[in-house]
Amino acid sequence: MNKLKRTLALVATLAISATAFVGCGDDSSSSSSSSSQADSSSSDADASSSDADASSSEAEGGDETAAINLPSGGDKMTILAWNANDVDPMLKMWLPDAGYKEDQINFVNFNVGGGEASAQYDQYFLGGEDVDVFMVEADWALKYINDANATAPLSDLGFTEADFAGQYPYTMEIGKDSNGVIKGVSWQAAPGAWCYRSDLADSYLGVKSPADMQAKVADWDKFQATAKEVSEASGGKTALTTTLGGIWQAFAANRSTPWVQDGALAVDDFCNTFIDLAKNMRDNKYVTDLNQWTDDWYAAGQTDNTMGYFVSTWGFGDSILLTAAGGDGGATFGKWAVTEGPTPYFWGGTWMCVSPKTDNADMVASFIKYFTVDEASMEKYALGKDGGEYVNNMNVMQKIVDEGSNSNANLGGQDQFAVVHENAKAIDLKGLITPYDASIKTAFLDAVNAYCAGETADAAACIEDFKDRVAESVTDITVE
Amino acid sequence: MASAAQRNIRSISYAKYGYFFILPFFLVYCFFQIWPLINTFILSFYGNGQKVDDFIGLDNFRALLFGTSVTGMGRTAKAIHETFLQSLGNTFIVWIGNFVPQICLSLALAVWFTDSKLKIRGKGFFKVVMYMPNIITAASVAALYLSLFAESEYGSVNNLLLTAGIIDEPIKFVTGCWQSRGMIMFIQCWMWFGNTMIMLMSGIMGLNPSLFEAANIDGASSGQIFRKITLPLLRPIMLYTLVTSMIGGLQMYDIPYLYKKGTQRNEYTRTVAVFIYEHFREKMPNPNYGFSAAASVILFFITIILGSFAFAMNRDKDEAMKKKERKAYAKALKAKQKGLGGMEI
Repeated sequence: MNKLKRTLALVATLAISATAFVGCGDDSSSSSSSSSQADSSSSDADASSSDADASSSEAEGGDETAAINLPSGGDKMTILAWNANDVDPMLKMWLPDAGYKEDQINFVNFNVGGGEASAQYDQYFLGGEDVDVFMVEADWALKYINDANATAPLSDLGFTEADFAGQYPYTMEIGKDSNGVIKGVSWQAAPGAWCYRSDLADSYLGVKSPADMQAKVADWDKFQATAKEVSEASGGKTALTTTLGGIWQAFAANRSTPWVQDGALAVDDFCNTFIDLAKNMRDNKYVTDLNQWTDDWYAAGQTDNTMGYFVSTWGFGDSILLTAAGGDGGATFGKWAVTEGPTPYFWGGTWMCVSPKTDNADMVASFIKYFTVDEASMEKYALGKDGGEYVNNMNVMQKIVDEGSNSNANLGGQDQFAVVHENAKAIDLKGLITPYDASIKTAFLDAVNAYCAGETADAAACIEDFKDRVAESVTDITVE
Repeated sequence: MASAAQRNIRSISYAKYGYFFILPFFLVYCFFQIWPLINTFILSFYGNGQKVDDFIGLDNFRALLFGTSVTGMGRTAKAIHETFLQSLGNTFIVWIGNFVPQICLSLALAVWFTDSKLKIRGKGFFKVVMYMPNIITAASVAALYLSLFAESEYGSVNNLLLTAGIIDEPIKFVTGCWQSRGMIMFIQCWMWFGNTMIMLMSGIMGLNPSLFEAANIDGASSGQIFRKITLPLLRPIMLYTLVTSMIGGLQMYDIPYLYKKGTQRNEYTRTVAVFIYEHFREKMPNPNYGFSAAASVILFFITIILGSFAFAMNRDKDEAMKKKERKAYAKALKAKQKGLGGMEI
């Protein structure tokens, strides 16, 4: 009896302590290569590459100019992402078309904001678990793209630069590492535009069409002049646009030199130009003192206090403009119009990277091909996804725009894709991106906001404040 | 003479099974609590960003506390020093600004609710209502206050005041320096005074009622009773409240973190805990683990120092003196005995 009790106690103790180690072991099963579930067409795994290529059982086949140099035949294809907004609809469409089954996919959803995903990935990679494809944001994509241990060149999957010829140029720039090797590719483009209240434009400026409005905001000088006009016509009540953050989103795309040169922060006239612009617009109330992503920011759209928002492809729905209009049938619903704005820019977007440790190269190649190379399937996705997707292919989007099937009721029936499509082609990053851009751009906007709120005395102090902020957050670069 | 069986039984100790049962807890505690704690100390001696593997000795502390460095942090050291000092200042300002009103309010309420002469009705109801804010999660509280006190003219409170003509410009409740600090002090006070009140009430109810009776019979006024009886006897509970509130206050994180305008956090309400988190998580592309860990270590020592200080201040001086006297007496006695060759007199 006593013995039994002791044994039971020991078992209970062990069982409890065992729970402490759940998750510590490495899950090697997902990377076994002798799996029978691997698709039948590539039974000899990575031995013959032409076989592997053929295994991506797409109807179109496609050119086989390069070979897959990474192993195939792993248990499951693991996809990492921070939410399911994109991956779920993508899988829903791709799996049946490519002939794969749901149980061949291991989708790891971290369920965090895009900005926090990087930290989650670092943890996950340390664990050494299976990973094939992972999604990255432009802000921190270079951290992985420049790291050979984290990302494999897409040429290893048989893709050449020619495959991506239809992509918007700026999305390709972001996917390249410091040597120009393509390591990340996006299925969506996120060019931005400027939305304005057409009724206010009519009464204050006499502007009747988006084309006329574009003429009034074609560059930043005209933008400020028009802001003055609106302010005077409305008796100082209406600001041309809502936030400095929005202006900055577009203005930052103007930079002609990288933020970091030779490991040091580059502060130039560009900064002063924006500081002057921001100060001018804020002091004269040409822009409200609201911040992006606040309740007030959305609420302002239903009043006459602001006339415009900077909006990107994903922002025409609930994310920005529809909410700002008060929803379907809201106070200003249908009174909006969209135009290119002072400068072409992009805002957001998600890129796909392939892990060099992938063991499902054939599936990954098929996945990437489906969403970034094959125009037929890209068009299908653009139209098939709920609410539509602005896919990353100029020909596909041109076709959709030409067909003219899209009309946005909130924009009075205007087709926003037709407008941003022009902007997207014109975005030129000039290869200026650095891994620190997100932190530096935020620091600059914070410093400018502080200056406009009167916390720093003049433009020079604002620059000093900016340098301090960067020095504090980005310790990897030197700040004069 | 005991039999072998009896001797055996006497040597059986069930205590060791107890140890087996608590073993899992200690294993988990060591792996998930002690080691990370130790690792924080280790990390505070290592670099930031990409240099996270470089041992840099005390340079993180040097940068945070004095704004200097020997490993060439340059401007970073100066900037981080300023930010850290400001965070530290914010922490103390916000804590003191919420603790002083909170303890006064709680003490007053606790005394009223326990006073047998006052006979307040609905005590239970009030206690529940006052404790209520403490049950709501900080996230909901922050969301509630952010929508009530939104900065623009669309915020409820601002809208009300503007319509009533009391103010001409919307008040900057979230980004203004003292406005935002005041709001956070108020929220913290509002959330915690019920908790403190319950604690003090239990302390007062634990006091010997005959003391109050005697005071009443002797004709002491309520003020005298409060000052001469309640307060001195309540000292241990007050000390406990002070120390727990101080530790909580120094680590104040949730409300200051959440109370922000859109994505822009306000530098006047950035506490040390928020500073630590920002450098641990939000600095892209590579977080500043070194600074983050060093700041945690500094905060740890500040807490220890202040905690011991509070204990020393509140020590019962009479009791300490008596203890000293007793010790001296024992010593003297011993010496005396020694002198007499250890002989009893």
